[in-house]
Formats: sequence, structure tokens, C-alpha cells
Amino acid sequence: MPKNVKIPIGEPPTGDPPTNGQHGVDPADWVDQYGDALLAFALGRVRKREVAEDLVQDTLLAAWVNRERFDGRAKFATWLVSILRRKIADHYRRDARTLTASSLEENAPDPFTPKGMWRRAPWKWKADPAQLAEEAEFQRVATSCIEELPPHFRQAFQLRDLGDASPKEISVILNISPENLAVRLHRARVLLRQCLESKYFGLAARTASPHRGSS
Amino acid sequence: MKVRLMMTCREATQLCSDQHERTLTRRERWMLRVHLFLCHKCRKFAAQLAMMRDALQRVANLQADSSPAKLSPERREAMKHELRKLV
Repeated sequence: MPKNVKIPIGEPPTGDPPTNGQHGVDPADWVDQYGDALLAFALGRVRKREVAEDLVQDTLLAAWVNRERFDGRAKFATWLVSILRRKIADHYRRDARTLTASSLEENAPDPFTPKGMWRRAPWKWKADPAQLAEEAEFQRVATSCIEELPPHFRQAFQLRDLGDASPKEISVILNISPENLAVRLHRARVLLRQCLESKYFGLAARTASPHRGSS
Repeated sequence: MKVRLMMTCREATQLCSDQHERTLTRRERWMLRVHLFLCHKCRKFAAQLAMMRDALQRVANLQADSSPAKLSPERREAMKHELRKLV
């Protein structure tokens, strides 16, 4: 029987191959052996906990159904993660489909003029990231600004800036080219910056006016 | 024909963003440096981008900390139950 395997978060785990395909294997044991590590991997790539848990369950079910296909060349845990990766990609594909149906906002207002200049100049932000993060109002605004991003931009942003996945991995998950990913991330960050400025820093500047006159 | 010496703000901010994913080429680095030297708006943007990323990551971590990456006992049992159905 395999030993308890610790899998580092965000990396393909390693571990002893289990006695797959043999009689007497109880797949329920996999939940204890690999469940937490798979969940950690999934949580680095999807934000919602219930979704991550569902993906782990789907992965283990698929692994059991397809256990004959595990050939023992890779570590069993690595094989599980490869299944989980596919489940994550499927999830984003489904997510994108429902989102495009529900929103026509892919053409969010362009913050640049046709000549590529800023429509509205960025303001000066006076803030410390660590302090900001502790502030309830900033947390609220940040969460809502991220939610408001057009779906394709939001997916790219959350995977890249809030998750564990590399740009290459994200391109695979979202099934887009690295160039396309770079464009989406740029748009997401520009829109997010604008949203934070108008909903958070704008108000902060108005209430604490002494800092404004610098530009 | 006009030779374009300066990239636009759209292009400059794209490179600022790209920097977080890849190493820029020598030419891109040079073009960006010239642009940022001359454009205070994009300079602000570059600083804000880094700050925003930092702050939002912290927020995400604070929100995630309240629930560790461990399956709850209930969820664990439910999964085992589902798996045993297949055996």
C-alpha cells in the first residue's frame, strides 16, 4: 500500500504509485492520501472552494474509472494532477460559455484613444499595499471591481495575479495563445486600475484632500 | 513617411503588463524606458500596477487564510461514498 504522500502546493506532486488495477484497492483511500494535495492545487487555480472540491472529486472518480490506463511510468500522484489539470480546463471552458451567453460586455470601454493615448490620466495613489489589504473598504471595492471585469479578462487575471499557475499553464487552461493571454491581462489590469481609482482612490482623495495637489 | 520614435501609451502599458509574465527583449526594454522617461502618466501606471498586484494578492491571501486547503470531514466522507459506489 502506498505511504501517505505530501504534495507541494502548485507543483506536480510526487509519490509512490499505488497498487492500481489490482484487486482489493479501495479508491476511497485515495481521498485521504491525495485529497488535500489535489485540493491545494485546485485552489491555486480556481477561486471558489466548492468548485475546487468538485473538481477534486471528479478527478478521483475519473481516475478510478480509467485506472487501467495508469501505466506506472509516471508517479500516480502526477497522473492524478494531469487529470485534475484537464478538469480545471474543462471548468474554465464551461465557465466562459455561460458567461459569454450572459454578458455582451467584451467591448468594455477602452481607456485609450484610437491614437493610443490615455483618455483620463492616472492619478497619484498614496497608499501602502499592506495597509490597503487590511482595510475593509478596499477589500470590498477590490472584490467588486474584479467581479465586474468582463469574464475573459477576469479569468485571465484571477489565474495569473491571484493564482499559482504559470503563463504557459494558463494559456493551456484557457485554450488561448500566449499573445492573446498577454492582451487579456493588459486589458484586465488597466480596467481594474481604473475601477479602483474611481471607486476607492477617488473617494479617498476627496475625503482626505491635502494629498491631491501634487500633479 | 514618419518615423515613430515613441511608442503609444497603449503599447507602453502593454509592455509594463508583459513584464510580469516574461522578460522583455532588449529593444522593448529600451523603448519602454524612453517612453516612461517622457510620460508621467505611464510612469504612474507602472507603479500602480505593481502596487495593485501586491495589494490584491494580499487581499486574496487574507480571504483564503480563513479556510485552509484541507477537505472538510463531511466532504471527505461524501467523496468516499461516491467512489465506493463505483467499485
